[in-house]
Amino acid sequence: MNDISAWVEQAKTGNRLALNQLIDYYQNDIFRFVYYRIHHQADAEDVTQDVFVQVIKRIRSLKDVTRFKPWLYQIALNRVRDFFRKKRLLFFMGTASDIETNENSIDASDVTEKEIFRKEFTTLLKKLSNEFSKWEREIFLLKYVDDMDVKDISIILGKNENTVKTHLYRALNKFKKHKALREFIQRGGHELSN
Amino acid sequence: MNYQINHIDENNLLWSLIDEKAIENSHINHLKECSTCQKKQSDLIGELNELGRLAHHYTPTPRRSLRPVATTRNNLQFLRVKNALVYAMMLMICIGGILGIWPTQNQQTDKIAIIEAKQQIENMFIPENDWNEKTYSILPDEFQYMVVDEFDLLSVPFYDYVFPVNIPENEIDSDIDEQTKRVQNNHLNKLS
Repeated sequence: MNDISAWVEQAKTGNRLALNQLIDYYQNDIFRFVYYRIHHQADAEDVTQDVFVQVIKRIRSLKDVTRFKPWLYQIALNRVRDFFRKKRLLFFMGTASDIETNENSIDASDVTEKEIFRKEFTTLLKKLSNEFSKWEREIFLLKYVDDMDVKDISIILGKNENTVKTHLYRALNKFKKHKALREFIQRGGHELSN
Repeated sequence: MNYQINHIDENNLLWSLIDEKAIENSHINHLKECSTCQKKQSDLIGELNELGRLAHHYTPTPRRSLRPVATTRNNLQFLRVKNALVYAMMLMICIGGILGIWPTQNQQTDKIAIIEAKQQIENMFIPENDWNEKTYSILPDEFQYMVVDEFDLLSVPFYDYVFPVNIPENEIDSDIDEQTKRVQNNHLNKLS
């Protein structure tokens, strides 16, 4: 964390090398964050790149370097929201492509066991997400997919810590009732261990 | 038996994952001692950790570098200069168009001067009313009464010559001057 704070300090002064180190360090995390909200690889890549463009533009305005991570996720969350706004607009204008269809159609030559499990996992996670409210979904994913603590989640979403905990409790209650995903998790553990 | 009845319930079990301070001390103490409740808790924690691990595992690898492509400042400067030039040209075209549609005061003065010069040239070669006066002034004095202010084909004796007036027979031998005057008077009466 000290390294990251040092990189952020240097990046704020315009050090390109430090900025690149920060991007390299966080790019997989941000890509995962975006991917599990958009569920489309190419779009997730574009949005992730856009997140880092915003980071480069705004890093000088970051006051507390220790809060870089929640600040970065805040930008990512806003970019994802912008993506869905644009998508809704394009859908309204009748020019949007069917993202889910494109992503779920796996090329027959590229069908591997991992691909099949990935598709199943993504589908189950989406089903669970559909049962959540907006805040429950966001908080659950931030907590268990993006490994964030409650304090950072409250900063990212601009909500009280107790509010975050209440939403998390409700989300856990729904997760507990989602047998299909829980079974897959237990099976998936074996698959990964093998 | 009493120990089993006081097992921690689902709600408190979930709250124990989120925030232990949110549950009562008795439940915390029970959780520390009860292996059944501990197993329930650890199973749920294990599932949630596994969910995170699977999410990491099934995240596809990006097909390209996610680091934004750096653009040099020179290129941006060039684009700014290019845009500024385009805007300046558009502004000039607009100004030119406005000036072309609405002539300036100088342009209006020039037009008036040209019209005045044309008028002067016309006056030099075609003097005003000169033509009428010269035409009729060449007539002998006895016919000067025929000169009128405005040239009228109907009022000239030539018309009477072409279209002769019927004169009564008793007036044929009368004096030519009297006869002419009479004809003139008759004609003027008709016209009036």
